[in-house]
Amino acid sequence: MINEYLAVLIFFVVALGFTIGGLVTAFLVRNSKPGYEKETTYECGEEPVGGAWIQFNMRYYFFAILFVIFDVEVIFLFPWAVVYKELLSNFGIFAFLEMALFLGILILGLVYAWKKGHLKWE
Amino acid sequence: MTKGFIPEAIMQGLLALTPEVFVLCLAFFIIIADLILPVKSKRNILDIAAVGLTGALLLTIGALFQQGMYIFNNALVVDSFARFFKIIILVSAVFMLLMSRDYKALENNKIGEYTALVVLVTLGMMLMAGASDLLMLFLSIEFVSIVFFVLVGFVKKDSKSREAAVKYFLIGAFSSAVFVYGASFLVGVTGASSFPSIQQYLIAHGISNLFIVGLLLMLVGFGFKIALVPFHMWAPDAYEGAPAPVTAFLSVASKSAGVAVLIRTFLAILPDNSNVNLILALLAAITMTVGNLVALTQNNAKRLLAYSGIAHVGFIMMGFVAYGLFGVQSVLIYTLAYLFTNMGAFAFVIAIYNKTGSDDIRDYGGLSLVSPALAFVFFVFLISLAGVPPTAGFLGKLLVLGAAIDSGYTWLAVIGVLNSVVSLYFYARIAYFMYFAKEKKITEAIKPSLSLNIIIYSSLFMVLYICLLPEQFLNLAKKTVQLLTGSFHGY
Repeated sequence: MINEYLAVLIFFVVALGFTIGGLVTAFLVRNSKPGYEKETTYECGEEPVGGAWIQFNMRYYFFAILFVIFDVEVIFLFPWAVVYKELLSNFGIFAFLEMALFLGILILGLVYAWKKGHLKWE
Repeated sequence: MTKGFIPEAIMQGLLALTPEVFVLCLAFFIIIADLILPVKSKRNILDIAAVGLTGALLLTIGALFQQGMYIFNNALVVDSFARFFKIIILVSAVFMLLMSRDYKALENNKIGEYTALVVLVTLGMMLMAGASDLLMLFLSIEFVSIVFFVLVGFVKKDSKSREAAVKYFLIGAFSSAVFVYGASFLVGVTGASSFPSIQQYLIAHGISNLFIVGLLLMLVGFGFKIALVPFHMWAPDAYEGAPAPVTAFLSVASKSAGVAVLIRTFLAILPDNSNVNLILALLAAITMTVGNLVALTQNNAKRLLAYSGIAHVGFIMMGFVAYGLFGVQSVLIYTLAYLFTNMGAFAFVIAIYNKTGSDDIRDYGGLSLVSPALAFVFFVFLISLAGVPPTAGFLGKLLVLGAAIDSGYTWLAVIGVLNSVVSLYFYARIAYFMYFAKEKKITEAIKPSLSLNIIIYSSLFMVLYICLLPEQFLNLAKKTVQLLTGSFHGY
């Protein structure tokens, strides 16, 4: 049992060495020419505005939750769509109805948030 | 593979879970009703939910003694033991909804959300009672915990309620983490996550120390759910801060569900519990003693009931330590007695709170003068909590003590009896304020609403009925334990 984990330990040490070694080598070899553009936070191409340590509006939270719901939905939908034909031949229409039920529940969640006014930005 | 409309294995599982499916549909129905109904008629949602849960209760009672079976690849087990606890959970959910009808702190426009959460948490606890796979167990426990975090902090205007929710959440999250860590040991040692497979592994290979370590870490998670000392810190604050119906629900349903999973896990996994029994016995003794001693000085009724609840968990654990048919049977009766006694007591706390706006037991003075009949009924619930005949609490305590002595834990039984004596003091203290306090704080007769009256009198009936005609309930518990699926192969 211990021997089996020896491989993991070696892997861990090598991974650690690789990372630290790379960073240290880069630090020793590179030129250092810092500038304003280089030091700003990378925001996927957007110009960053203000600092990151600000208080966020609680409203973001609802959008985050709704996003998570539909993000997870896609994770489930994707493998289902891939094997749908196989499912259909094995389980018949049930394969479709099960996903419809799942989507129905999630849509109910969206309708609920909508009706309660959480989708409005006042 | 079958070509039927719904695959047979799934259909079989769904049929066995009819009450759960019913409760789930009810929850969606309530969410939709919340969207459609105008604000002024939203109180009706509570009634709809209460009626629906009563339906689920009848479904469960009807199927009580059906043959148990594992469903959904051993993820869940449906047997009489699970159904017994589902009945307790559903009864307390119905009572809780009835209590909420008159609870003033709940705003009309929040009722739909509140009811939906209550119904969903009921579903979660029903799943907990039947969980037979570590993953399912964790999911259902988290389901219940997270919804309860929200329910405890539901009255957002009340800073105590928010504080209670945060405390409950922090300790809950911490103990969940420890629980999962422990469960990972079990999976690591046995390579299986469902109880039947784990048990098979243990029978074949014996129990290793690592396994016991994992099981004890899991005990932290269970201990949090049932407020076992030393994992009880959240209970008094959460009970005091939460809306009173939620407190009642938390103290009865959540605790029963916790007891159910605790017993199920240990019985279904361990061939015998000799390895961990001493630790469980010590925890039981500490829990009883701490709960009762701290309760002595409490003046807030909800806080006092929280500590008394902790002490009761100690007694339940005593029955569990006794193990075997008799031990589990005594736990079932004790839980049943605790359900009705505690619900009755909480109904009183709410009735008095609605009148005076105070939870302080020193403000109960004069109750016996203005409404003597109600004061007496309250007194019956108090002596049932203390375990004095002729009440259900007495029968429960008697059986638990009997089971402990029967399996050689005489020292534990002695501690239990001593604790009973101690507990008599603080229950009698409430009675003292009701009957003999010089300062008469309550000057008008207390008239509980219809729904509170239903709870009070049906609980009173059951508390007396269980003790005076115990035979049926003993038979019920016996049959329930005999039909327990997947364990007791060592007996």
